[in-house]
Amino acid sequence: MDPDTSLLFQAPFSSYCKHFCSLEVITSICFPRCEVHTAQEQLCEGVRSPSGSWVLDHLEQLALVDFRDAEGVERLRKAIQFADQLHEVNTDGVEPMDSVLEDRCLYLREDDVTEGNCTNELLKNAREKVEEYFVAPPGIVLLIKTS
Amino acid sequence: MLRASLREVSAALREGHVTPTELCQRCLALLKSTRFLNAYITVAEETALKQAEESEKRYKRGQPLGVLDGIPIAVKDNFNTAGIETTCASNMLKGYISPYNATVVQKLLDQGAVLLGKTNLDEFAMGSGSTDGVFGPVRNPWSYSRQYKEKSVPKSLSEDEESNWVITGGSSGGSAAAVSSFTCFAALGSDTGGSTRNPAAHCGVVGLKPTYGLISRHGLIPLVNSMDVPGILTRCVDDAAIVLGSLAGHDPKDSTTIQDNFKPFELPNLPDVSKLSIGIPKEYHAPGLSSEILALWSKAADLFKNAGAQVTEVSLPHTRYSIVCYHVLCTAEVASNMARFDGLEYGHRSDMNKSTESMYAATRREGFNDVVRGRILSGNYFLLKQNYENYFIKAQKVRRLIANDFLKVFGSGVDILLTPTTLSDAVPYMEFIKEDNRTRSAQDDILTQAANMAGLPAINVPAALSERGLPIGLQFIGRSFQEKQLLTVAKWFEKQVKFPMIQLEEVKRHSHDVFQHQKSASFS
Repeated sequence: MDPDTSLLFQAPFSSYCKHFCSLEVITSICFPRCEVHTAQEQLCEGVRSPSGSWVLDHLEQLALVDFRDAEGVERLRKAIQFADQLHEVNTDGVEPMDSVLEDRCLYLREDDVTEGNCTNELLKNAREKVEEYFVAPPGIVLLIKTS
Repeated sequence: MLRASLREVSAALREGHVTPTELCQRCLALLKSTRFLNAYITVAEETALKQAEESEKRYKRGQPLGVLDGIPIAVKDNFNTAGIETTCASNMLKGYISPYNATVVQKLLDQGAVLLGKTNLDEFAMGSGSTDGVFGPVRNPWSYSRQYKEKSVPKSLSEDEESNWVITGGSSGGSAAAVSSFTCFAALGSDTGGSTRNPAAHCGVVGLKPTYGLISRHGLIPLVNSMDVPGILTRCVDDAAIVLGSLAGHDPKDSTTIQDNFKPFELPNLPDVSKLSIGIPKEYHAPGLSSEILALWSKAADLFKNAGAQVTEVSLPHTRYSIVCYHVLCTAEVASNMARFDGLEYGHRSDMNKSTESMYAATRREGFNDVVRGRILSGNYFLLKQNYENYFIKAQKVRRLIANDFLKVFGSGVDILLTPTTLSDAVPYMEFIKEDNRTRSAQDDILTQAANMAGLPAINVPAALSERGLPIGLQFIGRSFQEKQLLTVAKWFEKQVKFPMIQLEEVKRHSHDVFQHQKSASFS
């Protein structure tokens, strides 16, 4: 069993049971389904729990940006705290606004090829390439943790 | 000659008092002697001189392309420029040579403008001080002005005058510093939360944020697609109108530009404001607003009143939520926009090659600084399924409330809003870096942000010098696509206040650490 999960099931249930687990989230740590408290609590719980925060794991996977040090987590916690002020505003009956130009139709041009044939130009900026291909290392689903 | 306005120097070129190559050389020389300001990341000396030569040929034939022909300009380094490095002040794009010109850059070049170089900024335009780029912070030219030096009291005899320098504001600090120090006649910036108006206020120049949808964003490396606009920095309002005239209009490559026909306009020589209604939003009397700026704001309102305009207090009740709303929407859009930087097709690429994901993650860790990564992480957090409704959608709803506030006020007959641009004059760099980027941005964008939320045009006009001898500006916010009215009012105000010209003193000693950053700047 994953060392992190074994810790989980040993400690009292209440100190971990504050996370909502979506079935689609593939992580190496499983949490029992529980109530969700405020987003900040959620994150803080994740930070405090010694098993590590599945929220941060998930975020790192999505964002492909690692931010594991305490400073990074603190920054995120502050950002959430700041954003929580939004909940003071009453937005009943208000439609979300995507764009200030929502009353207009976006311009769509004719489906004609007007430019292109610039393969060499575009390949110039890539570091690894073979003939006309961009070269990437093999892809896998989960992020390999190097630390 | 370099202190002249765009219009004046253009006339001088046409009359043959100066040639484009002379002008270009003089600007380049001044640029070299003001390198310590760190306003430019890349100086395109060769191409600029070539462009100047072409312009000279056109003037000799008597066929200049327009008012901008031969005029040296600078462009913020988040606009793509073909053949010239575009870095966004980030390691991610160091060495990236763009294959195309941004539409606005192309338009300027088509008019014959001479592109001197790319200016410094906060990394990926995230910040309000122009201090967080990898090429180092930009220094406000006013730090070296007689006006500032006369007012600053050295704390000790041994204090290095270098440690006293003040920031330019951000994120278009390099562009503002370039215009303010006379190395160019106009510069392009970008404005997402106040990034053009904030440094304009701190550097004593005119900063125009046009209506969203008026100027093409094609080629502007995006931060927040629904709020970004290219900004214009000049030394006077007339010049801003000239540059706006050559940039505005529909672009088939940017479908968010409106299709209405744009007619370039000239501002009246003697603007009349007596028939206007000026609104003073009371919520802009924000906590932390310096008493100097408050007094200046009040004096400005009186100026309009005495000229016969109707000046009324108005309310924009959701103002204080605009910065929170911006925080959520900005980080969410940033999370999406920064996803394109993976090292595969362009930009920095890590040597890590165990797997695609680990290569991406390593590339992004190496390429982005803390600020960018922090925003990406926050943005992804707000976009998580369980948070989407509570944060992202909620923020979009609050955005509509903010936009509606403005609609209501303009609908009640108010033509222009008059507000301060910043809470105080420029702070010294040593003080600025005591707080982190997010806190500073939240503090500094408070007065400029709402205009981006609602997509409205806004302009900073330098109004007076503070007690410390530094510029303070005031902001005018207008109705959508009513730039002509906005600029007319701004011009009238500019004539009234007669903001003093900066008296730049020659800097006798250069600090050693300034030259460290010059290693990374490239001359092409």
